[in-house]
Amino acid sequence: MSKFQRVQQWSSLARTWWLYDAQWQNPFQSAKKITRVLQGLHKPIYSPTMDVGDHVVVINSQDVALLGREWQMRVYFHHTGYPKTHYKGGARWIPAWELHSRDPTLVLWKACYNNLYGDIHRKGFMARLHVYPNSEVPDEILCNVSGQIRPVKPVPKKLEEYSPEERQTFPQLWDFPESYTQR
Amino acid sequence: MSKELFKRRVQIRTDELIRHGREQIPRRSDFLEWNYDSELYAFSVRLGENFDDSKIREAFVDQSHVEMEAERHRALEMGSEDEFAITSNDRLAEVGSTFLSETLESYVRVAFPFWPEEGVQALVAFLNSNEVQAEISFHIGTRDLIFAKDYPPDMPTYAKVFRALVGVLVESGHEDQAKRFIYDLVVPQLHVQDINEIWDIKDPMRLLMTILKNEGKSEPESRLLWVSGLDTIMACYHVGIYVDKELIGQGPGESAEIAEEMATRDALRRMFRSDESMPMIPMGDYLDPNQIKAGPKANLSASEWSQEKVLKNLQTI
Amino acid sequence: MTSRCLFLKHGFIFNNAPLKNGLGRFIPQLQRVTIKFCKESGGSVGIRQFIEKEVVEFAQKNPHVSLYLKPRRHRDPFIVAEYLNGEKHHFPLKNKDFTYVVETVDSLLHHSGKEFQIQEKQHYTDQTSIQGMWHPFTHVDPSVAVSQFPNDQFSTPFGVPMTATEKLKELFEAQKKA
Repeated sequence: MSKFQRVQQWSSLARTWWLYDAQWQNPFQSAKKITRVLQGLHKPIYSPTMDVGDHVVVINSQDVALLGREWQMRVYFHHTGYPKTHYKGGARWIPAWELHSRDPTLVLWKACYNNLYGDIHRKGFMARLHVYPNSEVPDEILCNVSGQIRPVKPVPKKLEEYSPEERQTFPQLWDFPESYTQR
Repeated sequence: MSKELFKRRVQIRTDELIRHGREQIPRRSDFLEWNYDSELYAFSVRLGENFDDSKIREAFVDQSHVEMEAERHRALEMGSEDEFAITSNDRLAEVGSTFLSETLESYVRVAFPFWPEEGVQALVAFLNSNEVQAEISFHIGTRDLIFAKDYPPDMPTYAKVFRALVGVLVESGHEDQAKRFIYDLVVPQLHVQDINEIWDIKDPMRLLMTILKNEGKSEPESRLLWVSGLDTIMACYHVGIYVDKELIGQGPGESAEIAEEMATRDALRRMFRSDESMPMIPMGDYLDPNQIKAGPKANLSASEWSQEKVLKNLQTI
Repeated sequence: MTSRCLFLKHGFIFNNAPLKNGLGRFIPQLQRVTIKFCKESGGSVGIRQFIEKEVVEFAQKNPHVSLYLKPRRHRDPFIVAEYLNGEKHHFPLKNKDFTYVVETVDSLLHHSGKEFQIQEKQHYTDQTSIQGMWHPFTHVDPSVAVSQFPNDQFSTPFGVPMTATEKLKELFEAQKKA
């Protein structure tokens, strides 16, 4: 193999690190995007026989948004490992809000895990998923990131985030009467 | 199935014995079904050449065989040394060797007009090397025709016989035929090779700086283009070489230094027109001997190389 | 499916032609053929017929092949074909008829001496691309190289339709100009 071939192969098969901001995003729709990158389906050199997946760093997983009454209605199963006759024992189904309070990264992590096909490669793909509840990511991880995955839905701007100048210049549809109190 | 396995076991055992020197591979000429004249005729027809009969017999005789025969003569006291008349292929090999160098040099200069003379010489040295010429010699069927002490003959013997065959064609006066012979057998050995590897530039950055100075351009500037996985073991750096804010070469690498070196090599191979998008190396039907006749005497040396000079030289040809 | 299939090599076509045969001139690869047969036994009938009828024509048509005949009493007939890459291929011809012998001998001319292998693919190249092989940054905008992550530039999805608020602002700007 020549020098040129060696470095060309190294560059073609290099793993890149992506960032995904899960702020107010649907975790299940986000999982579709994230797992696509974890598997390497976004690369033209993809092959199921060769693991060409990339790393994904997810931030703000604590601010993930579930639809409707999912926080109450969606349950996550786990078994304690003890028989059900044991006082610690049996299966447990806990709602999403409780799981989220115990570990704010798990809802999104499990969404990705369950989105992947349950074969031998899944553990490898999941090992490349790094989920953080807020935007505090260790420097040694963040310095690797060289791309960002766009979110599923646009993140709306809160009223507080508009500056006073913007509020002034925003087109008014009608004039408020003098008695109307404005915050 | 057991017969196949048996044959394999026998083969392995024989190979082992040969490797340890306890058994010799029998010479093909020791077998009863052997006719040297018909083999020689078949050899000439196979290559499509009319070799001069007396000269070609001389071409296959190696010096080791001559010495062996002389020893035998002396041992058997078979008359004076003057009567002993076997000539080795040394002289023919000399003739062939010089002709090979000349032909290959003119070919490489025409095939790679943008290459400096050092690169041309490196390619010619590769094509003239014992390894390449021994392989050619073996694959045209000289193994059983060679008279040498060892059987099978060793690499330098094979290479010498090949050069002697070229010498035969030259001495018979068929220079064009000899050139066609070289173009058809030696030149295709460049086919799968990466020619940028054959000419190993020791210090690519210094060469690049010399060339840019000759062209009157400013010094090259290396810039980091991309990094993926900076803190990981699979880090990949992409470095670009900029001259006057223009990108002239880029390359990837496992570290920034390697990437910079590959970027300079990429810049150089782009200048010398031997990068990935280079035109096909002329071979076979695409090789015009007349074009090579009218080629340059020598390419520019690396210390004087500049693109304008090369283009000017090409226009004058 | 015979047991022979188990020994068939599966290979990728890789520089199959010995010495890049054909790139320069074509050199026929068959070097010499040795035919061993018995003059009397029944198993050599086919090969004897071949020698009577076809062998001279074969030798004349293919002057690059040295042909040797070995008549040996009470021995089974076979052909040994030697090729330029040094390989010897052995073809037993006991009790085979004339047609079979002719076909075998004809097939020898079309072999290169390499071990028979099933080609996985019929194409091969070393020049994978003249535009340059893909790497993760081939089609990436250079601005990404100097961005800090997370970046506002990549914080909106593609293909989001215009909201009513943005439409309103647009109308307002148009009204201002008019």
